[in-house]
Amino acid sequence: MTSTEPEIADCRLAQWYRLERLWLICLSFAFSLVHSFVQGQTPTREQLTGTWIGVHSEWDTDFFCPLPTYIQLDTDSVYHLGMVDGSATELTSTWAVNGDLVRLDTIHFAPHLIKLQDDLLSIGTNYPMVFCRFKDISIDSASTYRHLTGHVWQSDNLTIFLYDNGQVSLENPTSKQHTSHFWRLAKFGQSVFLVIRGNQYNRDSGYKPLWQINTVSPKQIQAVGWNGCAVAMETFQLVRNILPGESSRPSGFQTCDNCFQAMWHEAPLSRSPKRYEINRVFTKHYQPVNQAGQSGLIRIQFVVNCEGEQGLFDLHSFGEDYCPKTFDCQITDQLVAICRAHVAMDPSLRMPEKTDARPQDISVSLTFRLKNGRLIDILP
Amino acid sequence: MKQLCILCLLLPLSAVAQLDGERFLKSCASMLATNRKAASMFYTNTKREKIRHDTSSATAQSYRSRAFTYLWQSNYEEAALWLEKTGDNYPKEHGIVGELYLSKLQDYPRALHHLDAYDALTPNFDDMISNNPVSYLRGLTYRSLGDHSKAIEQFCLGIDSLAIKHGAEWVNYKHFVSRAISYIATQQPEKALTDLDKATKNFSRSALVAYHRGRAFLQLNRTIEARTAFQDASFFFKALRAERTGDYQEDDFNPVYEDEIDEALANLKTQTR
Repeated sequence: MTSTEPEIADCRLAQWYRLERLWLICLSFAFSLVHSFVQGQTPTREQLTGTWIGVHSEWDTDFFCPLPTYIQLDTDSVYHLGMVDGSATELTSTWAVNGDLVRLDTIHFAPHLIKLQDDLLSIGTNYPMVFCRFKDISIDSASTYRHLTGHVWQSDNLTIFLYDNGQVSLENPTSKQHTSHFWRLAKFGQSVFLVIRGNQYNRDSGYKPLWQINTVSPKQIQAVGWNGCAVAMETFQLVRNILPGESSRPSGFQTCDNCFQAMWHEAPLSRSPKRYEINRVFTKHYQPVNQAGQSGLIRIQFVVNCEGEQGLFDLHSFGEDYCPKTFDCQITDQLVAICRAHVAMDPSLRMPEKTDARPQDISVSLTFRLKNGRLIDILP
Repeated sequence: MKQLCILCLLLPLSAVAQLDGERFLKSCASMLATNRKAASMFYTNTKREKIRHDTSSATAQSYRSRAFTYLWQSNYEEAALWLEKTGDNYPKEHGIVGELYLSKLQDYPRALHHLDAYDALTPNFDDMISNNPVSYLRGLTYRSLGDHSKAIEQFCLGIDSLAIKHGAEWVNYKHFVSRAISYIATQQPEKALTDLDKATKNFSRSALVAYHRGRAFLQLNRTIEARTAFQDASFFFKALRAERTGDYQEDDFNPVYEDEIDEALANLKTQTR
């Protein structure tokens, strides 16, 4: 069988297409290799030079604390560390890159601890600190303030109620849960940042994620910040004006600290004099419920905020074999009631060791061992 | 008026805010320093610690460490599971498993089971677990189960062999205290006082020893000496608290609290009135 010219042409075309596809696959493979190689490498001096705005520090894989700081790495090796809202005196030192090592001030970072991915700079692996490359956008702060204040703004992930009195409510549009804080605008370079900090009581106790305002119009603002999943440009639509008399209040229990994790703030009860008091409180107030089989462990955890409000009660119980078990509610209700009335109400629990420090949020975890409904031990 | 508000909002808010900012910046600088090396363990980063455990090879240390992490998180179901796995896979770990059941979970039957299994590995030798012989931990377990005579029997194993071999000054004073507590519980205050005298020789500034001396004297109706002992306990307690931290305990197995000492003194006053 002989091939006609068009058939040969088709065949060559098909071969060419195959080659091109193969070449493209190779190219993309090579590109991904180079990309991953670059990602694993310590960034170069040129890549690091510039200003980096803090996003958050990752205290665990699922727990992030906002980072309202900036790092500025100048071409002349000058290093600046400061607060975006100017609330602290900037620290100035020097920085350098030497092969795989990066030095910021006097801190030498081991190889591969400083990583760069697109515009995000990550420092460390213990508590990775994430910074975003800063792009200065000239915005008029006075007109931005006039646009923002007294209005409710909503994006897909967040609703922000900006009150004229400086308070702000942050609401999850899905759950409708909201927390209360204070807001202000901060000028950084030519840019304007929406700074949200404090709690329902005052402006202290940490920050919420920063938002860099990009564009402002009467019905819409665009801002860059952490939306709960990524650093992204969020579009906030004007929802409504805040009504006269409307005020910012949390929808439920709110800790004072914006970076609160129960395990980090546990009240040290296991050896302290408080343990003796707690043993006495439960011995005095707990009425045994004599019932065979009501044996095992009951763990009660809760949080008391800096002003003494209590919440986030959690009860887990285990049998003597340590498998989950449900106890008679006469027992569990009693234990929770004693915790509420006698443990959570103790103001000394919230007092820090330093006498001049402010009261703080604390978490309490108590585990009771029971035998047939009788309280026999409180675990250390 | 609005312009004034804007000005107020844009200026650093107050001295308090300034203070908070300085504190925040300082903590950020500290965190940068903390991040200068890669950690081998994450402690409080529970999720990262779990990933580390899941990816680390199976060793006695990794099993024990995992059990300990769960205990620390009060996740008792997983903690017990890994404690048992540790003992089953690495018999030499029965000792530490027993100690954890005793000290952290106050589960005395399980503690005894593991301590017995550990001791059975070398039947003619009183093996050590951390700084204590297994007999001592068994004694504490029996004491917690209310069986003081068995507890004394176990305490004697550790104390007497060491005292005969090297002298009483080589015995941990806390071991004498534990035996004394069981002597007091079984109405043998003279024996308790003998042990507490030996304990005092090994640590003369102990609030724990003084407190239990007070209790032993009370049993003998020697109230004046009891009062002196409780007053000594109160003095040493305050002195030790000043030296160490507020939640310091001389002996976690025999905790003594300041309020407890004060109450003993107050009761004594009521009795002598």
